[in-house]
Order: sequence, then structure tokens, then C-alpha cells
Amino acid sequence: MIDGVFGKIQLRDPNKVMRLSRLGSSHQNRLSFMRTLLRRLKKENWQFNKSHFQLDENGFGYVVYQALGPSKTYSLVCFSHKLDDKDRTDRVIANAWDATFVLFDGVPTNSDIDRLSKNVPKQEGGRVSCKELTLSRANRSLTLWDYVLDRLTNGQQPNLDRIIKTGYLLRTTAVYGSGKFGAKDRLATEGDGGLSGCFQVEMLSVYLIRTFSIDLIEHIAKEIGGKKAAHLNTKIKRCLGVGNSTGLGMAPFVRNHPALIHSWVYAREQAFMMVRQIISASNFEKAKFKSFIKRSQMGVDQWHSEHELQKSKIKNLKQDLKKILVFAKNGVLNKKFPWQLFYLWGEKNLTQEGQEKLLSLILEPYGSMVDKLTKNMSVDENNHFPIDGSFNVQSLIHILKIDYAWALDIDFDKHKNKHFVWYVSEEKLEPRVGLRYDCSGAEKELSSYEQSISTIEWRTKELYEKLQSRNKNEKIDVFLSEHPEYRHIIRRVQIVNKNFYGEIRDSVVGESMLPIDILRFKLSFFGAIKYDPRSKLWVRVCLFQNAPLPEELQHMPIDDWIYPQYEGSLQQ
Amino acid sequence: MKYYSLSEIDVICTKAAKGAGYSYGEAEEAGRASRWLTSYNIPGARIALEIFKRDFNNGLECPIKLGNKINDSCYSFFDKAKNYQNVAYPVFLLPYISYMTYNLNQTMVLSWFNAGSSGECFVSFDGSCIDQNIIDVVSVEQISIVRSDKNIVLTAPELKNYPVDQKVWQGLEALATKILAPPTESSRDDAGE
Repeated sequence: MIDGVFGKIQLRDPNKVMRLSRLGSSHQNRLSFMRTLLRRLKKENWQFNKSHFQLDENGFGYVVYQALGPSKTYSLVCFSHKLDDKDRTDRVIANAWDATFVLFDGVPTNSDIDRLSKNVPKQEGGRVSCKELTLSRANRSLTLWDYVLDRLTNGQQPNLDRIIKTGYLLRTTAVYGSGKFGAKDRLATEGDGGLSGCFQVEMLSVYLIRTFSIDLIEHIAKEIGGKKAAHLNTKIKRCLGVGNSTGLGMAPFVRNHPALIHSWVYAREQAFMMVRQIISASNFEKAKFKSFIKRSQMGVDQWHSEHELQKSKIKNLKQDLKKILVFAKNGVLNKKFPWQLFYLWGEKNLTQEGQEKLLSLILEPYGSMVDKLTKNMSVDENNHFPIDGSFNVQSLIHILKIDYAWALDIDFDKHKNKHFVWYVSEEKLEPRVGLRYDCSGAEKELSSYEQSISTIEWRTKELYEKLQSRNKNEKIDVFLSEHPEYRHIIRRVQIVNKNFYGEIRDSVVGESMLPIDILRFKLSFFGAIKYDPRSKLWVRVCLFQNAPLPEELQHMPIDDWIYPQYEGSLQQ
Repeated sequence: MKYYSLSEIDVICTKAAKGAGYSYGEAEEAGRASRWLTSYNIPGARIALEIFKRDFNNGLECPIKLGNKINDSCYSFFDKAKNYQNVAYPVFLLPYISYMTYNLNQTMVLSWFNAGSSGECFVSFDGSCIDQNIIDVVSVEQISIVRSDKNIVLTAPELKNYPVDQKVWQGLEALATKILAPPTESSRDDAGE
């Protein structure tokens, strides 16, 4: 897959795209699920209302929002609870939250609400039914909540810069879907004529949680401040998104769904390739691109992190955006194949953070060309599940050499290359990452609980070595009947052979592995911004900041909402 | 009885299979098979648990192992039937045959024979026609699998929540727990957040 300037412009090489450090430099783009959702809500003229508002003077009780689409209605049922400050934690082991939510498929009856009120606040400890689609919870932002409440109570608006910096009043710590805790299965949602597509119901939940966070704080301010209390002005509301704390729970998903992950990355890479194949850019497209660079610079100026690694990445990105703007003004956009030239220049002159940002920016002027690719971003994984036993050993060795060279090159006898073990604790059934060896170099008991996510690299190499002694014409079904321990690896190798962006082409057990890279990759497809790692294991992000409010959807140029506006920025 | 989503049934059976000693790949398949059976109103979770608890060193074929063998070698299924003797829980083979039909793009028929009883089940990737008598058959003397050209009305699986007996669920959880590390303060730190 060699990219030429005027020759064949092809997809980027998966051996480059799927490395951990690059995944950890991913940015939102036009195909991200949040942006796809809002485009759809606008196009289909969805309507929103509040059907129940049962909050007491302290803001405790429940609220129900309805989202009415052309063929289905969804309702977000929100429960607001009293929570002692000492119990407020984003940790996965938490048992209580400021607010809990469920997205209901249709319009809930009073009996449904009663049932949900007994289960949703318990989260993992409760049960929902196939009438429900997502289950989530959130805590108030310690940085903003009291401050904003105080300002509103006293009839004043909060400082816009403070709002922008934090970006949310409520921070979710999990948004469960896909059949968890009794909720409706994803495949059933896909086929019911409603919000099909990857993570669309989850994104709708978060979008409505944002509305709830604003209504809740305004309600409490009014209860305390009475007539002098202020409502948030619209501009400030728009700058409020929803926070999210994401931990290791998200990481195994990326490894456990290779065909699906391929469909996401393939759509993005296809979009990037299509734009790079454009022979010349119009004046409008050039102006729009430059406008987005400037707005991106504003966005990066608003991105803060105390994490040393991220601080340095943000610093580099600021430099990269300056370089991108200068290069854009230097006439490259007037040449033939401007975007391919830009891409090739970026490969030599930008950090990975900048290169991936450039990809996102280059897609912006070409919505009419690339947005349709989002329809390919979900797959029926059942179609990829059966193993093809007719493969022979030689073919499998050949594929392993091509798709798993990255694993075959690793010496797993060295402890540093098998440093981590991924396991699941009995507590909360969430994934965790521990050290494989103790101080004396002995393998810990933890290894006996190792999950398949962290066996792929070394098991693949084992398989490769084992296959060397087999008859090269032997069919794989014969090999598997003797070695069932390699079934998951062989299935995976066959899937990845057809779905080449489906594999993280790096070890997740080596000493240098950063789980936050995997988290950021997935979050970028959601459309998250302001990645703020709190350690190597978890990250905070912001969702829907700058998004149009539900009542504004029909009147806003929603395709560019994710970038901050500046005076004179180009509207669609 | 509590109701569970198909996804929950898949996950618990996958973990339980692993806890029972099956390999990751076999466990994934057993989980999917349990889910598949449940979607046809067959108690997949209960049957899976019985299989996981059973010792197959007595001459009976384990349907998980046999299902994989049949599925992996589907390329060798032509017009002639393939026969297998002394098979436990033959109903558990149906999901595996369903996967075969994906590769073969043809409906398959599983016939089973015991002294005094027999039956037929038709399976495709998108739908099945299952002889209800097979559900409680613990073992059969012989099964036969072959491509089918018969014009059979196949029913599609139903995607909804299904009841699972609590004793069955607890049995699966007990097996699943074997692959979970006991909580410690250090393991809480490993969670990160």
C-alpha cells in the first residue's frame, strides 16, 4: 500500500494505522457517532419534550424527556438522588451516584417508571427489561456545580471561560447498552426501525442527559433563589456538554470485536482516501478548511490536562496546527491533488497527534462525499464467526506473516514483553490490568485468570511456531481437532485477514503499553473531545460540548458545531 | 424465573464454559450456541450447564467438541450424509450446524435415532424448524447430518428476553466465577478509576 502523489492513492497501511501510539492520537471526525446522530436528528426533524418533571425543592426526584422521531419515540428517564460528598466517586466500584438514567424504548407508563425507580438507581445491582435500551449514571462536577448554582441562585451568569474549560455539569461514569443487565439486545435495536447504527441510542442518552443537567441546576437555583434566580443564557448552555470518565471496561471491546472495529476504521480511512483522490479543491473548500484549522486551534487552546504525557501532546498539537495553517496558506491547496500533498507533507512534518488531526480537518469540507460512509459502520458479527476449516497450514502461516508480523517479532521470553496481565475481578466484573510477575520474577497467581484480550499476541506467536512442524497441506480443521486451545486465535486471524483494520497491531501486554491509548481510540469514534488522562488507566472526556440544544437543532449548521465558533468563522 | 437478554445468556455461558475447562474458542462458541438455542425458545442455558458439568470420558461425544468438528469440516459435506454415534445433547449441535449453513449457503438436516424414537431438525443461517422432541434427549445412538433440498418452512429466531431458572443461572455463575480473580486492594488499584 504505497501512496504516490499522482499515482494510485490508496488506503493507509493497517500496520501504521493500528499501532497503539497512533490509536492514542485519534481525534473525532465527521463520521463520529455523536455527529452522525445529530445530523440524523436534524434531517428527520426529531422533536423533544419533557413529559414529567417531578423534582422536589432539593432537586431530587425524576424527570422524563421524550425524543420523537419519524417512526419511534424514545424516553430518557432521569432519577436525581441525594448523595453525600464522601460517596461521590468516579471509580467503577462506586455504589451510589448523583443521578441515574435509563433510555426507554417508547413512552413509559407510570408502572414502568415505578419499576425503573426501584432498579435504575442500583445500576449493576438492579435489573432492567427489554423495554429499556441503555443504563447510565452521572455525578456532579465538583469544579463547576456549586459555582454555577451559586451564580444562578444570585441572578448572575457564570463566567464563560470557566464553563468552557470544564465543559460539563454532570459527568457520566458508564453508559451501558447492548443487552446489559436485561436491556434490549443490540441486534433487536438494529432491526426495529428506530435509531439503528453503532452507539446511536447511547449517544442519544448522553445528549438528553445534557439537557437534564441544565434543567436540574436551573430548577435548584430557582428553588433557592426564588424570583431573583437566573436561567443560564443560551450561549453558556451550548458550551456545556456532558463529562465522561472512562476506564478499562472499554478496552476489551476494541479487541473483542475485530470485524466491527474494522468497519469503523475502514469507513474513516476510505473517507480520507476519497478526499485525497480529489484533483483540485474549490475556493469554498479551501476557505472552509482554513476556517476549521483556526477553530481547531481555539478548541485546542481550551483543552487542558495535568497528565504529563497529554500536556506534551497538546503542546505539540498547537505547534502542528500552526504549521498546518502556514502550509495551507503557502499555495499547496492550489495544486493538483492538494489533500494528498498535504497528507504526505504531514507525514514528514507533524507529530502523530498532528497527523491524525489533519485527517479529521481534511474531511470537514467534504461532508456530502463522506458522511454516507457512516452507514457501513456496523456489522453483523455472526457472519464473521464461523471458522473456515478448509484453510491449509501453509495459507495460515502466510496470513500470520502478513497480518501478525508485529507479534511474531516479539520475544515473549523477556519479562518486559509480557509485563501485564489483563483479568477480570469478581468485584463489579470489570477488566483490570495487573503485573504478571512478582519481584522475584515468578509468575503471579493472577496469570491463571488471564483474559483472552491479553493472550492474542503471544498465543499467535505460539501458533505460528507450532504450525512450522505440521504438514503444510494439512487442513486447519485437522489441526484444531488436536489443538482446540488455538480456536479463538485462528478465528481471529481469519477475521482480520478480511478485516485488516480490525486488530490493534501492537502488544497490550508489553511494558510500554498504555491502556489510555485504546480508550482514546474508541472515544474518538464516539466524538469525544478534551481527552484528559487521569492515569495510564483511565481518562476523562467531554461529549456534546458546543452542540446545538434540542430546540435549536433545526436552525443550526450542525455539521460544524464541534469546533468553537469565532467571529467571522465560515458557516455551512 | 428471571428474564435475561440473549447477550447476557451468551456472556454467562461463555464464561461458565471457560470455567468448566473449555478453551477460549470453544467457550465463545458454547456461549453463542446457548444464545442461539434460547432464541428458538429452547432452554440453551440449562442444557449448556448440564454439558459443562458432564464428564465425557464415558464414550459419549461432547456436543461442543463435535459441533466444532462438524462446523470446521463443513467444506467436506457433500450430498452424502455424515453419521456420528453416541452423541450427548444432540440439540446443542443445531447452532453449530447453523454456522455451517452460512459457509455452505444451504439448509442442513440433522436426523437423530434412538431405539424406539427418531426425529429431524432443519437448520439454516436465518431460521430453523426444530423437532421439539430433541430438546430433552440426553443422548442418541446415532445422528446423521446432510444437505437438504426439502421445502421446509423455517422460523426466524426471536430477539427478546427469555426466562432462565435461577438455579441454572447460579450454576453458571458458580462456574464463571472460576475465571474471575478474587478482589484485593491491589486489584482495585488495577481498575484505574
